[in-house]
Amino acid sequence: MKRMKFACKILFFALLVSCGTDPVELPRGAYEEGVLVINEGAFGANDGEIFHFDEDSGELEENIFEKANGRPFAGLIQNMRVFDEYSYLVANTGKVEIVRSSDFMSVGAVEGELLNSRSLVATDGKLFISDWGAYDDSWNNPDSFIAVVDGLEGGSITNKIAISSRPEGMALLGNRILVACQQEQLVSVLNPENESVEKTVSVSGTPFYFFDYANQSYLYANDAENVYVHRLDPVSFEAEETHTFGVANSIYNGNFALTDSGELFVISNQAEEDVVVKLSLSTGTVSEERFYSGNNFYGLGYDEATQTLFIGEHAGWQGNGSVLRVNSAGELIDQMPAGRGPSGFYFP
Amino acid sequence: MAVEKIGVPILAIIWLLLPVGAFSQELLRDTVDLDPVEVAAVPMSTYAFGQRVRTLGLSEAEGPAARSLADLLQERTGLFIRSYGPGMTASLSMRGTSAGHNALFWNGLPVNSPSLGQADYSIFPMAGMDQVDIHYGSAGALYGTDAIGGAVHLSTSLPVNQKTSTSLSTQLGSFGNWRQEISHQQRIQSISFRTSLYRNALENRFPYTDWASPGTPIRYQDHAAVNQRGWVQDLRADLGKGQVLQASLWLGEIQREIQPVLGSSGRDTQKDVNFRTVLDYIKNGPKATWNIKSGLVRDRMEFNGDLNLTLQALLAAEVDWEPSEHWQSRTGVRYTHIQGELSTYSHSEQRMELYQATNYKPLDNLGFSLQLRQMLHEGQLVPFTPGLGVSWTFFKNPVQQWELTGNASKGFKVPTLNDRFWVPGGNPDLASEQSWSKELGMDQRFSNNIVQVCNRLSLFHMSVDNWIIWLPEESYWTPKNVRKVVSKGLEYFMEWELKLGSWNLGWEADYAWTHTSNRSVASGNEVDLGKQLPYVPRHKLQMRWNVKKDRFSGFVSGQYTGERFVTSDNRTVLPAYSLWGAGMSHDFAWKEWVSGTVGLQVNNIWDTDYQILRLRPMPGRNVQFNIHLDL
Repeated sequence: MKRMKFACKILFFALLVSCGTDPVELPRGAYEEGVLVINEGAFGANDGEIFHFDEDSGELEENIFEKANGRPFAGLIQNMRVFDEYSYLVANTGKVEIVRSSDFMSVGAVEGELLNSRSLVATDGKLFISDWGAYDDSWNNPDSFIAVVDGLEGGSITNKIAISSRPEGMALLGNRILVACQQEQLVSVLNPENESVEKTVSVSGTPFYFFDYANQSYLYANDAENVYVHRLDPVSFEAEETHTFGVANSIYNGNFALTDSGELFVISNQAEEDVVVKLSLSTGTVSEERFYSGNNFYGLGYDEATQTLFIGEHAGWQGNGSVLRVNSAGELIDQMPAGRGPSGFYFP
Repeated sequence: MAVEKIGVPILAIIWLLLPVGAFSQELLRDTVDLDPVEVAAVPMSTYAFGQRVRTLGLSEAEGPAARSLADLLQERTGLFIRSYGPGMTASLSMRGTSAGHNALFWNGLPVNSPSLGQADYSIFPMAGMDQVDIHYGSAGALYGTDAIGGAVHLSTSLPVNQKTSTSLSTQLGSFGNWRQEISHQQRIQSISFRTSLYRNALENRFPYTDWASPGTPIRYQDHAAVNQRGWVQDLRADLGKGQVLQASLWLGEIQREIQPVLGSSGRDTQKDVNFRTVLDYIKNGPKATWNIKSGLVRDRMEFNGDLNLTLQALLAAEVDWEPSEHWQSRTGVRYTHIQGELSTYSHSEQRMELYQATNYKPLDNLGFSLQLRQMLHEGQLVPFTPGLGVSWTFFKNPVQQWELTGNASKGFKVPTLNDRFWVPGGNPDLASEQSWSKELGMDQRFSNNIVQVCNRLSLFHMSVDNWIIWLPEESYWTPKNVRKVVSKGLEYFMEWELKLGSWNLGWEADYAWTHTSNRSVASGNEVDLGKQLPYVPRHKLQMRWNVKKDRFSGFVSGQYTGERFVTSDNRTVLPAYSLWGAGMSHDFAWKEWVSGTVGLQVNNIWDTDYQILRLRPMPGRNVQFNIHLDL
């Protein structure tokens, strides 16, 4: 989710630049305001979808991809990234679909050789997609890769860069691409120009996603006992500082939410319930062990404008899930229906 | 002649074993006119007063040439088959229940997988059965575990006349599909036998709309090939003095590329090898019939390299006797040894069952059935399972009769091996699922020299408690007894047969209205309360019109499947669809020693784009050509 905020800032910066050179202001699209709910979809059903929530009117619009394109998305949405005017829906079922962020009309896709795509960055007119590759007989992924596509609107894969097993989140830092690789617990550093791995950096915990805070880059990682937040050196990409938070069984997919004041929300699966724990990046300590609790928590998002925490709830995967809105005091505001497995939120 | 008759099957066996990849069409099995069969044992349905048992004879040449048990039930009944694609996994939903809530038997042997608790109806080709009996409604007292929604019985029988004969069937169809079957039967003194071999090669290269890709291009299915082959052997020895020894064996293998759901690039493969064998000793006496049965079912399933093995060994003895003309009784005991070697666990267990079924007919037009069963599972008593039914013919004259039926019965399902022992998550403390089913029915039959009419209406109400659902826990999924479901509905069946000179006309309709309602759900799923279960259509209608004149016969068939909810909160719906088919066939005879049927049928005539399950494309219009030869 923090990558989405980071991407949002890039988009905002791009808009500023474009506004500086072009006096014409384009109207914002229907989906460039409000909240986008990313529903991952259920395994075997491929029913991932994006919902849109208008915080002013309280209206929830379901299945915006299907409405815009007249067909289902047909995939499990692992990650949604926004670069410039496009949103990239990364499905772990083997495709990336590119939609215009304003109206969610599809402009293209990457298909064919993707198997288990996880995340994406767009830079230098190219797309870089992390993919676990095929499973072997022992359910390992020895042939993970980064797929390269020439062009920002999809197309065929022009190169596959072999990478450490189970690449997950990706980020741009300087003129390099960082890839969090789960299996060997390391960060791979890619040069996007020559499309090669330049170095790897070992980290504590299983790394998932990168995020920015106070003009610095961080990496979120965890293991069964702790959550690790590594601050990365922008030159060496080594972890120059690591906060270790004693949060057990934080959710395996690495979903978390960050506030502008450096508070991090994570989900901890506990014996009888799921608990949202609040961490402080500034102090490196757990701020609130039980900010909010319930069952079947799956995704988090934080809306800075309204200081509201959004919690995705998967209803035991028996059907569609729901979204809980929680205020800054940890009180439930309301609960609304969502799609299958709401795993993340995007605040344009 | 004798040499010819022996030579033909040997040649055909060699031909069947040849590689089939180069052929672009398929070989169909025709629906074959079979001779009347002799049944030595007393069928279970004898003790089912008040419940509906429908027999699907497979000898109606005018019917569609079904490819598997799944296709047969989908095309010929009001039952709904959840199919993941042509030739792919298919499970049965009867009266709103889930896949594991129906018992499946082959020659009296339970063949539901003990690890999965259900059967894949697509891996049972028609070559392995001569008759299909469908028992609607809970019948745990008659059949034991799993018979909550109902039970399906497949049986093979050697023809009574025991003539030596060989038959060959071949089907060629669209999308690179080819089926073949050869069967030879013979009687040598008091021993008769039949050997059947089959081979099905389905390339399934059908076009479909790829809704997952921009522009929704038309693509050709490239990962749904099926290769299946098998051997079915029946043997019957008349030992004299009313004693019969019957044995059947079925060795089948099916290799499948698993058709991926739209939007996925999955390349899963599955190979199933199933070995089933059953031996019956039957002694018919003047008032009693003894039946001692032993059987073995071994299932080997390999999914992407993960190997799962299960074995069921069964030993049973029962006696049917008639102490008077008003009473009929069956008493039996059944022992089952189950062993599972799954990819994550191993387990073996024993089950012992005692059962009693009694018919009482105080009047010619009134009969009662009482069934009782007690299972001992791993030393623990599964709740006692009774059933009671009544049948009353309240009007009868030479041309028509009217009958009222009623039944109340219990069903149960012992948790599967996977439910209890899968690592991680298996829950050994699960209770058996339980059902109570009640039904009322009315039968009407009319017949004269020209027309025969049959109507049957059933109303049912069923409550299933302790329904097992797998739910996510701290770090893995685990099954729990959390759901209670009430299912109610209506089933209507109608059949007309009209004879006008040399014309025979027939009309058949089978309709089911099924309403299910969640009465208890897992915590957090309260929105599902009162909702219809996913993939249970409220309406399913099947119709068929037949015509036969001299050697010509034809049919038109249609089926309508209503909307299905995809999720348990009923917010996502798959549209209803209708499918139509038609076919014709012609009997022929050449010289004295060969006769047969040649036929052509078209399925999905209107090229309907439909999905039984969401994002699982099904074939459009397709054609099958079939030849059946009797030598």
